Amino acid sequence: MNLVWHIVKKDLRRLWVPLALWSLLVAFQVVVGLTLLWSNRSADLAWFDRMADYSHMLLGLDLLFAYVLVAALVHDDSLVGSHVFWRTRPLAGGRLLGAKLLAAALMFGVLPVVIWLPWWLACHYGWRDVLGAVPEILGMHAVVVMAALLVATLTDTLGRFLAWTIMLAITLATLGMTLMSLSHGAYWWKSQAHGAFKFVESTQGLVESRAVLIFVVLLAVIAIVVIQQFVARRPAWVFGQVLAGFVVAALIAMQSPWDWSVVWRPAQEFPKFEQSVKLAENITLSLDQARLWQSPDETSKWSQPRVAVGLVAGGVPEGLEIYGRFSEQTWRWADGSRIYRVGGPFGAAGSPLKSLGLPIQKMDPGYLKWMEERRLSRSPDGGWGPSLYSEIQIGWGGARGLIPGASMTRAQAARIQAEPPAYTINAQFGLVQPEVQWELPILSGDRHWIDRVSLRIAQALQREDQQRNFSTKKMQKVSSMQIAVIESKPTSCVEGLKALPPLRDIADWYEPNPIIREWIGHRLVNRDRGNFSEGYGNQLKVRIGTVELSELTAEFHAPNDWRGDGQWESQPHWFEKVTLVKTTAHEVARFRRELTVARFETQP
Amino acid sequence: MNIIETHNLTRRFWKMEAVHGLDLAVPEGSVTALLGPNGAGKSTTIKVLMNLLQPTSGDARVLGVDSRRLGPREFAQIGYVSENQQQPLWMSVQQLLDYCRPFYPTWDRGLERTLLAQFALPPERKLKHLSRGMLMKAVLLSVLPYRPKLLVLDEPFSGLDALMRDEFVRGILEVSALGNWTVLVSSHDIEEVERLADHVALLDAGRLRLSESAETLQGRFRRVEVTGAPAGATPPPGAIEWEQAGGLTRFIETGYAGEATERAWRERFGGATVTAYPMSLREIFLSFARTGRGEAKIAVA
Repeated sequence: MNLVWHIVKKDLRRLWVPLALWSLLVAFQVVVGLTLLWSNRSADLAWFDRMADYSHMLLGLDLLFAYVLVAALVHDDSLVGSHVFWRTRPLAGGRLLGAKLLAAALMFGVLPVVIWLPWWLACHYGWRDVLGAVPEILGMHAVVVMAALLVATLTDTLGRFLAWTIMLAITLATLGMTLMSLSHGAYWWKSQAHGAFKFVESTQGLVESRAVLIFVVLLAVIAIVVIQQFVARRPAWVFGQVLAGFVVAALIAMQSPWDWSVVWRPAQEFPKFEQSVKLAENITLSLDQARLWQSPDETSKWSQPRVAVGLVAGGVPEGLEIYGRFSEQTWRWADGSRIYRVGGPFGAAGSPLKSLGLPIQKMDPGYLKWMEERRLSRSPDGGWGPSLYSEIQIGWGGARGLIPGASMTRAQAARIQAEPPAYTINAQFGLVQPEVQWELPILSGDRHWIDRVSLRIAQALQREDQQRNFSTKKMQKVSSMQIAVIESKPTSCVEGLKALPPLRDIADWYEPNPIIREWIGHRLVNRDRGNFSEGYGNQLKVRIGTVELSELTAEFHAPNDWRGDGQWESQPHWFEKVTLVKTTAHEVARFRRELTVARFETQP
Repeated sequence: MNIIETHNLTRRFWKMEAVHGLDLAVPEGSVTALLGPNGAGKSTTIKVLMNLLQPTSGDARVLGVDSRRLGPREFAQIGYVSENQQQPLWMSVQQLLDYCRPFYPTWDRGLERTLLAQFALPPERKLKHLSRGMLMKAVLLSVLPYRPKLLVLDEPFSGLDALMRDEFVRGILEVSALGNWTVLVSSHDIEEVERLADHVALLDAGRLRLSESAETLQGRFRRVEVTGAPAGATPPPGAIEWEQAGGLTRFIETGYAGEATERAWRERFGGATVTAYPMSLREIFLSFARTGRGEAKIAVA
């Protein structure tokens, strides 16, 4: 051990200048994070975006520099060539490997953790959070170190190291793309041939599991090559080992049937079958009303008739909300002819009003009456036709949210009206659990800690503007408030990985409708008046040292009171007692329901 | 007992054979010079001996261990200095010594101090700022304080000027006087090792031409001049570089054995005057080199 430590000290002495520069790169990331967290400028979204870019650039440089530093570390006692200093000294390869790994652990493990620690403490990390963040920092650098070790043990100069790196990167990218296209093709092809071949359903979990398995295999190959190079130094063997690794990785990518994603996905994110059955057992589905709308003007771009179906979902468990995910609708006549339509999400998840303890806001009857009159008086090109409003959890559903081209032909619409057919809808629904994540008073500059989430309202600017009313074309007074909120929260490795665009894209590619869904919204709530205002704006996010920093800049309009004849008026002094609320809605169950109606009668 | 032994040692680089069927023995306590022109296979041989290269066939034993299995225990008893070896140039002389010291249980700090003073090396100067000669001395200094059983010097004199070369040789001589060390030194120029070597091995085109003690070698080689040799005289067995010009005949006797050889000459050359001159190792080396090239030319023809 003394000798190992002796070599480590030599390496650290040798590399202290580049190591100090690299530490600065990591420290600059901390500085960027602290600036975003504390600066008064952080209300400026463009500035936030620029700082986020700097942070990404610094992280890239950090990893790149670490990659090159590993090469310098290994090349100082190179393993390639017959001119190497250490090879004729009483130093075993295993001991040298131990020393290099220890040096790498100090350089890319201990040092960054020490540098990041003040940042974590500034973000109110507890020891559990630190224990969660450290593996991510270590893991990220470990991947870089392992990749660099592979190339560094096979080269003896920086030039060769970089040249090999480029070659390896091109090879891996080519192989990766080939494998992805091959595997995707294979899934598709197999799915076309049910029964004839073993069908492997491609899901996000399966793809993730395969990616993890390939990653483990590649790490194992790297470990074997590195150990072999330090201990036996047989460069010729390396090609065989790397080739074998690629072949195994290819087989895994295309054939591995194991899905271990439950290991890294929190269990609660899976709407389990039993849970879904239990939550949905009392939910019933019935037809509320159906409307058929078509423009009298056949030349209009909206001339295609459309059927809107309103559904009533009863028995939804208290505190949960329902939304439609997918539907198959069939209209059948006695002669066997039918119309079949398939569609994607329909109906909204609803609002978090229940969790906020606020009553469901009803539309002003005067307004509804005015709207209906207006609709009827409008030209055929004026819009989408009737809106179906009903006091049901699912809002209104039916054909509106279906895929393009699901509308009817005029002949079909006419037949539906003339001879009401039997109607069947088989739909998949989701149940969501709304919750309030936090609620803050609007006090600009104040920082609030809710658990480990830091919140700061960087700006709250109230304005009174004159705006032209869209309907009446008259100017009216509008009260609004612009709010910028800086939020920081610890995130897990898995969340961080999922945030990586390439992984997200791959996941979406294989599973366009991932099971895990979450909706996030920001609202200003005035409990005294029992209403709220939804914000419209932008949110930027950046992840710095496992902390997710986000800035929301949104504009909220004070709710309006209906004054008749298309006139609205902002509620006076509405912003005086508002709180800012962040709401989320998590999916907790999925289920299917089928509804059949003997006579599908429509209203105009 | 031999510190180094090779048996039918061959090393190929693809199709090029750098060393062919080498049978070499380096006796314990000797200073053996491995001689040969550039490209003769000296450095390849030494690299195989030091386990820096693997033999293609045959085997080599160093300190009684197969060269392929040389490990820390053996290297703790071997000092290796090569002109081509990469050195930690960023270190100062003192840092080099400080770094090497813990690896050797037998490191003698007193000897280190003595040698440091003797070699007149500036301890704080970085290796990259040393002249080539001083660098070689610094590297030599790093392999001596643990009193290695075997000191292997691969072309240590390359690039050194005459003065530095002389200093270096003197340094090795001084060191070798400190103990019963075995030294294997390779060079393409025999002058450099003439003062050192008591055993000589000559490599040419990867093949061993001779391997024996310098004393024996110099004893059996004579440059012979014959004045008034009869016309049609033929070279005696063992003669090389036979030439006749006018009444003067010259050749090199490779098997000189004192009175018996001189008696044979008198019988062969009748009443001619035969004068035999002792040869330096350099002259012997050159005559071998010339003969080897001649043979090579004949072989090509």
